[in-house]
Amino acid sequence: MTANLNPKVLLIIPAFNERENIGPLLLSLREHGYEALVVNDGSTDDTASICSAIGASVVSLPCNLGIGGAVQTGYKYAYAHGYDIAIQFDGDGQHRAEFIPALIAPLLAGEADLAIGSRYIEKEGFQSTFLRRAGIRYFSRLIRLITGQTVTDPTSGFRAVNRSIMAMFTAHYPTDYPEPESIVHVLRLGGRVAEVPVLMSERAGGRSSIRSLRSVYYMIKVSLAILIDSLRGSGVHRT
Amino acid sequence: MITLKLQLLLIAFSAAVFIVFINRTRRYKLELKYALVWIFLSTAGVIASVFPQIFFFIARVMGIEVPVNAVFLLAVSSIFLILYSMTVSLSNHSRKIRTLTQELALMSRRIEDLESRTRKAEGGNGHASES
Repeated sequence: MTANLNPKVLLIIPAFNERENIGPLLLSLREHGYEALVVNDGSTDDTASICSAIGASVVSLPCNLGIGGAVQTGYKYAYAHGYDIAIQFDGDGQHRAEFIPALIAPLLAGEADLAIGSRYIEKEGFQSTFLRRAGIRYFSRLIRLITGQTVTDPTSGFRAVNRSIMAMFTAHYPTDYPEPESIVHVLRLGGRVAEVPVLMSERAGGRSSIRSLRSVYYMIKVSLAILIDSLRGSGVHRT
Repeated sequence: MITLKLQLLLIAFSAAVFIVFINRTRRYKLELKYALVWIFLSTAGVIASVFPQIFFFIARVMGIEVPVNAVFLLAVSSIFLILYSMTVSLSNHSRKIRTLTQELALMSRRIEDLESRTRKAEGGNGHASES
């Protein structure tokens, strides 16, 4: 792909009961001049009405699909509406808009198809808890073992993709805990993955969707998903 | 050995399962696609319990000393088969529901966009309809 001087960029913001964070986030993104799409994942609070009150663009899922299904909806929208770049951006205040130009730079230069914002290249900003860091290192090693590529922050939900990956994600995207698995998926199908150093903040409000007891299930499920994905061929599996 | 009592019980049970599933399908309560595995297995159950020599044969071939254990083994295997087919269709359905939910959300968004664009166009023409 050649460098695109005026790319159409869409921020995909999956939101499930994010009433505390979503309003200020959308307003700050608007100040930065970014187009955002909120995918309201069947929220039971007034997330949707807050978004439409400030005139934000929303797609509301009639029932909760989980993070993977919500983000995939955003990729489908971005692909159908001809966006050149889609950026996944959390609705909980963890991700910072000032790093978006750096994140999409490798895509614009045609050096990568998927760019991941990593906390662990410069090791600055919010670094997460010790146990979570240990888990992230484990996934990083597992991905290197299977794909040969080093990804320092495989669970990062701050990522940008070009149209070829959008098409790939439209056809298949993992259902829950999708981040590490989708990296392996992209690499298997020949996509180029790059990491960009970013700073992240602690969640502004609400709770992370990954809690202590669930994290055991999370580790096992994602490991298996990665291992099973590596058994698939390089053909595209439609789901 | 398989006692006559057990044999009658097995025949009655398999026949009951067979009748229930045929009847439910006849009344459109069950999809034949999913009732099929039950109908086949209960038919096999009726045949095997009418001719218990089948159990003796299976027990001998598999090295099971007591033929009645072959009955249990087959029953458990049948349940496994049914559960497998359920897991397959459950996975298919969750995938379909996910796609439908996404398409529905994207579609209602398109309708909303179209409606607001139509309203704007009507307003621009000076023929704004009060609706």
